[in-house]
Amino acid sequence: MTFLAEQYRLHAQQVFRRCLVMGRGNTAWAEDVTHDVFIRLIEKAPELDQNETLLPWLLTVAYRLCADRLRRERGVWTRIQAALVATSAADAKEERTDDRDLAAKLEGSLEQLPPRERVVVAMKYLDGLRQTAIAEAVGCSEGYVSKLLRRALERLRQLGWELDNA
Amino acid sequence: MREPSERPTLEEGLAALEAKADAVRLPADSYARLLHKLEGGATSRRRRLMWALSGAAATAALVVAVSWSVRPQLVQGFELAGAARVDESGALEVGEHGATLKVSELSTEIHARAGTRLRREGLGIRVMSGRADFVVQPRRQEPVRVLVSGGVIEVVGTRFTVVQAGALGHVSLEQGVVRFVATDGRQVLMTPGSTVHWPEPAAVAPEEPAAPVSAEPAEAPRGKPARKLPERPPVAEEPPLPQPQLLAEIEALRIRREWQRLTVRLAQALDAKVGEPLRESLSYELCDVLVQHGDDLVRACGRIDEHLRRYPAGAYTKALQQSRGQLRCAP
Repeated sequence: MTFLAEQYRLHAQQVFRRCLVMGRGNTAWAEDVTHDVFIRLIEKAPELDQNETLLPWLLTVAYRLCADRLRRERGVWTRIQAALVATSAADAKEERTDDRDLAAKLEGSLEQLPPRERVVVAMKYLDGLRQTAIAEAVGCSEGYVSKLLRRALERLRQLGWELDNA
Repeated sequence: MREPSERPTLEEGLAALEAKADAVRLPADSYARLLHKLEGGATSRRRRLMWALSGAAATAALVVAVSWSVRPQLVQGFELAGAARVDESGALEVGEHGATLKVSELSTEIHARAGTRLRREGLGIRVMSGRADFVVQPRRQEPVRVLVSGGVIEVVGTRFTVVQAGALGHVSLEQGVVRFVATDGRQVLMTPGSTVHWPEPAAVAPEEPAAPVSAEPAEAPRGKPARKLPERPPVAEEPPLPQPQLLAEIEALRIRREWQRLTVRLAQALDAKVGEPLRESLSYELCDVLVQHGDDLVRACGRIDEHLRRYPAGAYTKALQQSRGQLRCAP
């Protein structure tokens, strides 16, 4: 088995999971981005240290591609959808939720964040990445990452999320 | 359960989101397609690099020179670009990096994976074993015929993949229209995205009461009972396959989601004489199938422990330790 195939076997599911979260559970969307991530791996393989685990690199590329794609897709229809989700999320604020609903509710909330904010929240709170790494992946300064995080958390608070540990 | 007035915490939401994503697997077909692409990645990478370097400054002469240097040779009726050998039966066996084959008179291009065996038969092409992606230019006057153990695939103009391993196989249609005519006369007009298997799952072999032989301990599961999977004929008596064929069969079973047969086949393969790197990968594959698709926690944990004992610093150690944690295996 080649090095690339090996990396794919080891990490494809993790990359797919991340894309799934970023793409609001849309399997086809996540599949497409996962595909693009590994195509990028084929292109960049000669420059990468093959003795190190490539998972962080793959996740960073996945986030970058997710952010690009989300930005591209953020057209009129997405805004209409976001508005609809906002209404239903606001309605759901006071509702009793169980774990099954919780995921769907957070997906709806994350969808309302601008792509970059969504990405930095996922990188920070799902993968526990440091701001330096996030800044490098997103292509901006640490200060700006901090600002994006603050804004994102404020929006999530307004959407009904408790942020005591965040 | 949360009180109605309580707001959910972001931490709880993220945990629920992770759990939801965990439950969704990368679809098998998509997984296999990209894996195929990555296994041929070295060739593709070289090609991309070449294009990138020559992109700005390339002259027509350079392009001509490059295309001349990779001009295909004619072997057994195929225009071959890549390494392959002709075996004793006259079939073309593709080398370890895969190869691209063309049959101009049939307007057909074939991307064959390492170890795939193909043969020209009359006006058709037989896939004897392995995996081959076909691209056929539209041919209204006479369809191209791809012969497989289970029948004939008639192609008007399309893009599709054939996997053949032992007596098992399938064709997956990506684009266009294909008609599959089985040896028993069954005909299926395929649409893009569909897959046809041969032989038909129910017709693989008569049901036998004997339990499949497995290298795994037949320990009764504690707690949750093992999931009842549809009975499959035992594969214990199947003869050992050469490596490329074995890998193709494993992939075929994975794509067909025949987890029980796959488990038995992997256990058998581990019992046979295989080199250490392959053994490690097969052992990991078995652990993965038991973790993802089995309900017998004891067996899955036992298998993982055996793997970790044998390969304490192996390529999959970290991934299996994580699986062990997720399954809450006993220390």
